[in-house]
Amino acid sequence: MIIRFLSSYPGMYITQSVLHAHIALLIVELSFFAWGIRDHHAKFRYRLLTLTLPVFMFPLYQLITPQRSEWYFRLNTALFDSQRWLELDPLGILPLYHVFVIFLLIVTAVFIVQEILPIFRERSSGTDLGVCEGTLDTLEVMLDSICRTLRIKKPEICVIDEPLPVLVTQGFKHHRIIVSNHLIEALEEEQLRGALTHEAVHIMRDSSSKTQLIYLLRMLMFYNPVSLVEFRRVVHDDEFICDAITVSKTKNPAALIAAISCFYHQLGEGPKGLSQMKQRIEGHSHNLLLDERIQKLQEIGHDGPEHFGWIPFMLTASVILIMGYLVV
Amino acid sequence: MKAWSFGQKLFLFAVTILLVTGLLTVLNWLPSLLQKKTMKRFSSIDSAEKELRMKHLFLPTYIPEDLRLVWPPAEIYAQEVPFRAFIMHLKYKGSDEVGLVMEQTDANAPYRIEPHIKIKTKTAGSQISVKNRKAVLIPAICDDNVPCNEVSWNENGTIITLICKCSAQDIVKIASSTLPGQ
Repeated sequence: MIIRFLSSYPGMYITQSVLHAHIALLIVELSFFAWGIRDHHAKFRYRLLTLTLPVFMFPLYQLITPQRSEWYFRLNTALFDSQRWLELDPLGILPLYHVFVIFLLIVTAVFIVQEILPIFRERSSGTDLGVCEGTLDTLEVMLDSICRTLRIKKPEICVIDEPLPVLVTQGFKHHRIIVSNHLIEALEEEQLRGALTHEAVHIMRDSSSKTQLIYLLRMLMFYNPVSLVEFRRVVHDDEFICDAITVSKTKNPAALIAAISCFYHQLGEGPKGLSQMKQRIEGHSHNLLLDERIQKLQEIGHDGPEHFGWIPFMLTASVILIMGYLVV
Repeated sequence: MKAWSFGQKLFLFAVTILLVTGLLTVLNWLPSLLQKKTMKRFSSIDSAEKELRMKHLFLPTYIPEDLRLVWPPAEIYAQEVPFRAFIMHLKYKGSDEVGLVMEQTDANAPYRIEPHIKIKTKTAGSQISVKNRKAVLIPAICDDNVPCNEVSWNENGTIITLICKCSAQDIVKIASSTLPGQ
């Protein structure tokens, strides 16, 4: 039954999209090495290839060559035929297609636990960022000057009473920056300017719409381990890009570093339950990202993103598409 | 470190892509080491018979000359795993187009191997006799809108199927020639 499903169009879509995503990931990582790409702005675009192309590759290829899924193509033209592996039963106990399906089910379970359940939990608990307590004149003036520099419409700013450092941007068309009074008190003026510039750069880059779109692609590929990893890396790249742009505007990386340092999670010794362990892992991963952001800020200059090479990008995309065609 | 020129980077990129191609080729070849006798292309009928120890292959002894089909077959495929199957493709003289497909598969096979000549529309089949075997003859339209015919019958647990871009008379003659006796 399983092998019959994997030989059907939905089954082939699942199998091939996973394979195509792996091929795309490998080629993109090799491209970073071959083209000497270190800039996160470029990396962000390349990584989008890994997330977007596998969604469309199988239907596109089937449209071009309907016989592509048949044994004749697999045997004579394909560079790699997944069915050869899936039908293998090396120990005579369990054919590999069982292992493959179990693997996809595990990835799906991780997606549900990590991405879907928290959304429902948050909705049912009605967790909100708190009540907007108004704004501060100094903040308004600072944001006004930042927005003029970035040439964007000034978003609404809202201060909340919260004992933790909070700084988030909400909305897609009409943006609102939410900042906790704790953060305002903890940061010096230049540090706060750096932090607010970072948020304004997110608005300038339309990060929330981009992230939603990328998240949608990630949801479509819920069974795909590459999407699981690459989605996070793309989101992290966006942070690095915004940091780089911020520093190119403020010319003060030290202030942004100090502002970022405020957001470290305190990982104290607490009770050792499963949910506490999850929290600790998440906190640790959050801190690692902050470490990396600070390290990048210490390395980068003040010139903003490097020039993006379209020829290497198009070559990489073409190679992914050609290779994908030959991987069935 | 000295910055590389675009040409050098392009060369490096080409090399890495060649490595990926090589890796995929090796990965595609590995299963044949672990599990032999799966579908494979053979250079001759003899080599398929020898390697897979195939017995009772039904080969045509007569192909109408005016069909311009070339013997021996241009392509031969065979497998023992997951079920026994033997496929021959005969092409037209001086052309790459397949004119006759002959498949011999285990009657208990869980699925049918799709023939390389695609049948677009089939008409109702009629029962005929091929050297005293009950066979089904189906007139059809194949790919490129060419009229074709399909004949199939069960020969002691082996389903023999012929699809030919030729007349019903010709395909029945070819089918008959695969069987011993008058």
